[in-house]
Amino acid sequence: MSRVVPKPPSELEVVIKNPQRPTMPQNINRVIKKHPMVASLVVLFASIVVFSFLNPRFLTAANMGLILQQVTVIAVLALGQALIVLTRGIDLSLGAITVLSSIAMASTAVYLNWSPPVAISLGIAAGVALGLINGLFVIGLRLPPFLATLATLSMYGALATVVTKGVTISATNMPPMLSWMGSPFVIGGLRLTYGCGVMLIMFAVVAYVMQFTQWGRHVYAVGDDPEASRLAGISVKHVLLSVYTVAGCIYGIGAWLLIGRLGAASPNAGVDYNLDAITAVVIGGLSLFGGRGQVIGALFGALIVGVFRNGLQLSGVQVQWQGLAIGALVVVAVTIDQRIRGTGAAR
Amino acid sequence: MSNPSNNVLPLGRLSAKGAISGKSVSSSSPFILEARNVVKRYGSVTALAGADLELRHGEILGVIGDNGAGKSSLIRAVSGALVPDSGEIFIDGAPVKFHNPMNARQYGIETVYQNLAVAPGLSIVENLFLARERRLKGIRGALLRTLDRTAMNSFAKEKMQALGISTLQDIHQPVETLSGGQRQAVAVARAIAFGSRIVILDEPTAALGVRESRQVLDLIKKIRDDRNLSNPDQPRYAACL
Ligand SMILES: Nc1ncnc2c1ncn2[C@@H]1O[C@H](COP(=O)(O)OP(=O)(O)O)[C@@H](O)[C@H]1O
Ligand SMILES: [Mg+2]
Repeated sequence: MSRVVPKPPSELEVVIKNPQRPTMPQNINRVIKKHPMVASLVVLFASIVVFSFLNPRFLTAANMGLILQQVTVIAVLALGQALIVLTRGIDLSLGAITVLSSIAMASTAVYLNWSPPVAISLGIAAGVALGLINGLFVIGLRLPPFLATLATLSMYGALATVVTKGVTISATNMPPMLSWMGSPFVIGGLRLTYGCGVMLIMFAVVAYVMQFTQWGRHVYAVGDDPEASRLAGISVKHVLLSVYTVAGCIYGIGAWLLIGRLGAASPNAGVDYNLDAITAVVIGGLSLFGGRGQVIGALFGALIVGVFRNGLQLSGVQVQWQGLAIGALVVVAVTIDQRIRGTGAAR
Repeated sequence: MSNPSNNVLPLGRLSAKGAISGKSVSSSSPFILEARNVVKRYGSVTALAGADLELRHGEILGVIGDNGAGKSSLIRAVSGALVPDSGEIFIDGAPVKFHNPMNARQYGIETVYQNLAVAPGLSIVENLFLARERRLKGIRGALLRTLDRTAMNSFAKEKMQALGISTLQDIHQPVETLSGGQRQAVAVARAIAFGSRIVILDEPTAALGVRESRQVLDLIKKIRDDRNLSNPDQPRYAACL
């Protein structure tokens, strides 16, 4: 404030000038602040390096392809979750939405003999509708997203059990198109599924939308400061509603991926997906307080979790300890987020 | 520039209910903005008990009152941020009704709110263009609503320069990295950059130090006087301390 200035400035000219040259730690701080996913990218590469020293089997094309296949569903669900988290929300119902969508696809195709494209479209439409309902709860009843989606988690979960009577539909009974996402192809020695490709395309599309379109920037603005957004003339409600709906659509596509991955449509799947998706989002540098981070971070987050699980397993670490490692990652990620926000508010 | 007055008017009596009622000295010239008998109650609290406001061409009008007197309420009523319980608002003598800030903006009223309504995580350019982003021409702009970043950046630079905030290093830096005065400058720039006729500032210097306060006040005068900033057909007015 009271810096000594030789000649008092007459206008605001001097004010916005940056007073000091940034030092090294400040530079790192600034990069992480602007692109929180950079930290997760560093963690991803570091963990790959460490695990490849621990076990020679880790850094093979076969194993890398396997990890990618393993994280596909979680990464896609985390993409939807990331959009909601950017608006300061959280979605606890995404697992249930995904399961319901996959059931809608499978049962219409198997029991009603609908043509696969129609059945798949219906499943995705179901995801859209269920996401829209979440959005209506949030903006219409003004429920906190946590409670709104806690309620719909229960409803959608019950619906899935009732509709299927608890019966799992195996992919062997389905038309091949429904499990197409799980069918493999080989690229550069890497054995991937079509689902991996679809996942990457989805991330690319959403990342573009968030960065370069009006809607994407409004999502950030609403998450960053809803009141300032409203006063600026953004319809906060419409933005929120659209975000929950788009997330529902992403879960719907995720349902198709899920059938391919599991080789089935089951009402019992998806229990762990909620927390896994949140974990991926947080580790990917998206702030649960909204408005910060990039959606691509959710992919890195999912990959980090996948790499840790796989790497620890190859190193002979028991499954229980894997949870401990992932939990530690979450603590680190949240701490970094708090630090970023803390220094941001200090001025 | 020839005749604009620069008087700060202590607006009226503070009524026993803790509400404000203001009346500027009467003038023969038509008022560009006028509020009559505005009433606003929050539950049992009467924030405005029939407040009046008159704003003339080229005038910088100050509204003065104690904390809780109702200054912000009056300002929010004429800027569309709140809907008064009763009372009338006139623009150029014609009655208008505002339901949200966008309505008021259509009449050229721009507001800088007391709580510094800028989104801290967004950059200077993004805050400047919040809710009125430029889109690309053609299909990408129309269908995908892709932003025209180049146009927005150059417009932002140009406006910041015209305001004398020219040494701005990085218009992409998030607003939260700016000082209070700098944020205020961004908020003011947003209010005047798009051809507004009336600029309303609610306690624009409340959060600022002495030097920064003076800079903001200079900026307000500059808005009124500078021909480059104000379209001659659309003279600007800044109201409310
Ligand atoms: N949103 C609100 N809810 C309830 N009371 C309010 C609200 N906003 C303002 N008030 C009350 O209205 C009165 C006027 O407030 P305000 O217009 O903010 O005054 P000022 O800006 O002059 O300090 C105060 O008594 C305040 O407590
Ligand atoms: Mg006030």
